[in-house]
Amino acid sequence: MESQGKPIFEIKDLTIGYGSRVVMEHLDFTVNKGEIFVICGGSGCGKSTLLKHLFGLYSPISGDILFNGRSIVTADEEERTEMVKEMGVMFQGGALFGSDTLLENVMLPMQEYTDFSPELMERAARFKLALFNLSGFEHFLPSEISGGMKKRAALSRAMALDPEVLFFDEPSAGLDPRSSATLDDTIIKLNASLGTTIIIVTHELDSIFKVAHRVLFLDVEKKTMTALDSPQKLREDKSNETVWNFFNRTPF
Amino acid sequence: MTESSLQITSKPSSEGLEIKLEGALGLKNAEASLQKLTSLMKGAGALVLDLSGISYLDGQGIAALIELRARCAASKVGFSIDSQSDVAKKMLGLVAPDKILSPLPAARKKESLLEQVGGATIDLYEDMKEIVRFVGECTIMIWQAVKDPSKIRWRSVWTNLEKTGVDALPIVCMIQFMIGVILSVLGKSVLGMYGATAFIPDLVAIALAQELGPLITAVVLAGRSGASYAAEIGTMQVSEEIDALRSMGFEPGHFLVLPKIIAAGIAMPCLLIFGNLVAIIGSIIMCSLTTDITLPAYLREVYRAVTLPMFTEGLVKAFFFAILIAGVSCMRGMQVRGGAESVGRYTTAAVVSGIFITILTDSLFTILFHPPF
Repeated sequence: MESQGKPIFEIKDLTIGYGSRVVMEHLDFTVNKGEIFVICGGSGCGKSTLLKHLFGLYSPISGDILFNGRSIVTADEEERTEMVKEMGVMFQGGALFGSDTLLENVMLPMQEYTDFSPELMERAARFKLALFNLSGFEHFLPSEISGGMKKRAALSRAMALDPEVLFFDEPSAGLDPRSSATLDDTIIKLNASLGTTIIIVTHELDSIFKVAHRVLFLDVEKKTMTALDSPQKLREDKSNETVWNFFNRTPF
Repeated sequence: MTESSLQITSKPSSEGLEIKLEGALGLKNAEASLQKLTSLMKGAGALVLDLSGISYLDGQGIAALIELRARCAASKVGFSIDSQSDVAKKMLGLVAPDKILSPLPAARKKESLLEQVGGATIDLYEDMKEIVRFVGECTIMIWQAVKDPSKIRWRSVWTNLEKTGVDALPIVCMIQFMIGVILSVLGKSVLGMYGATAFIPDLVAIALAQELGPLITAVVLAGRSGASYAAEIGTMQVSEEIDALRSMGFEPGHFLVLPKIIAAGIAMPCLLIFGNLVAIIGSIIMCSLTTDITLPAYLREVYRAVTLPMFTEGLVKAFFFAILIAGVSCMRGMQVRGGAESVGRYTTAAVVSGIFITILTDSLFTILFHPPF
């Protein structure tokens, strides 16, 4: 892609938290177009919270988040909706709508945001499901399929509008090794074929080494980011003890 | 995504209509492009697509091409792709088009009316059996608790007592106050026709103590606590907390249901007494405003009208309504399977069953206390 390498997200001195309780502060980084960017750190460090700030679900305590050069923090409702259309999110548990079939789940964003005829919409939704090997399950309800399939269906829904950026919250949580590896392959395939920027929250080391271009490490004790580099470099760099321990799985 | 427009040029050739697509085909122009291509298809013997000029193609674009192919097949027009750009090749290689072209398996068959009625009847029968079984289980549980009260989880009873009793007091009192007012107005307009306004206190007190008081309090209990019991236990069921209790060797009935039933059984008669008192106050205020009944006269009349058996009947009813509502609501909570949607469905069912079982028991009690034969 011609635009590859330009920043898609610019995070400027961001402080996030709940109410007045600060979870992370002084976050400064950029995510580039076409990149697979991993946010990692120990349990409870605020990875998912940061992710939810990136797609505008929560407002930060201070600082700014620029998406394609426009602030998502100060954007009004209409602007934010425009931005959100360019983002797809796969939640940890899938978050599929339980009373709708998989096909209806994937069609929902199209129904709301496009002028597609019903035939085209169905075709497009089936394409998205087929992309993640869910052909034949179009009329299944989320409660009738396995955990791995739910994740893939959620991914189909996140991809419904061919977003510019995809967010994954703990994609491999609760998946068997093969499903997890398949999902990793899918992430790489999506990134390579569509040039989609992918931001993942995870602490699965295997997955990080396989997919990540760059990794952001959040330190729960220092309440800020302490490293940002390729996973291979982070594993070898002994100067930062916490990061080295994390990437080399040193017990406490 | 960054998209420029799509240029569509066509020229007839020996193989059919040759169509060259140049530019981007994606989310923003998929529908318009599809319409244009469909109109070109009409009258052509075959379509030959040249995708060598495609610079951007996304999932929606592919869907448009596949839909075009399906429309061609439906109108018996040939469809082929002649040459592709690298972008198009990469995208089209993602999924075999057959997967999207094959007819979709038919959506779930809708049941006929007869099947629906039959299914509903069987469900109702099964549900009745379930209620009877659960009532039996609860009776055994209560009997065991009576035999050995030390086994009851009293702390949980206290917590539930607060939620079911104290927290419900304001709404019960407010509703009963208004019922008192309504009954007085009604009494005045009907009894007044016969010059019998002096009997308004009798009407209000008897109706409240014996029938309306327990019934209305029960409806509030079913709507408020019944729903909360079902939702609480249902959510625990969804999050495997019930399974966790069982795995630790605890009986969920004893652990969760019994304290709620006991709490409701204690709270409800208390709520009834408070509610009825407030209703009487409401009625007194209304009577003093609209009739010439004085406060002492009113109280004297109430004292004369409400007998001990009448008062007891109300309390007994309230007690049974409460344990049945609590039991049925907990049962609905236990029946939850699957996800959040199921919790909602069974919470609704809890309220409906709670109110239904109250009315059913009330009619049985009426026959029992006032045998018609």
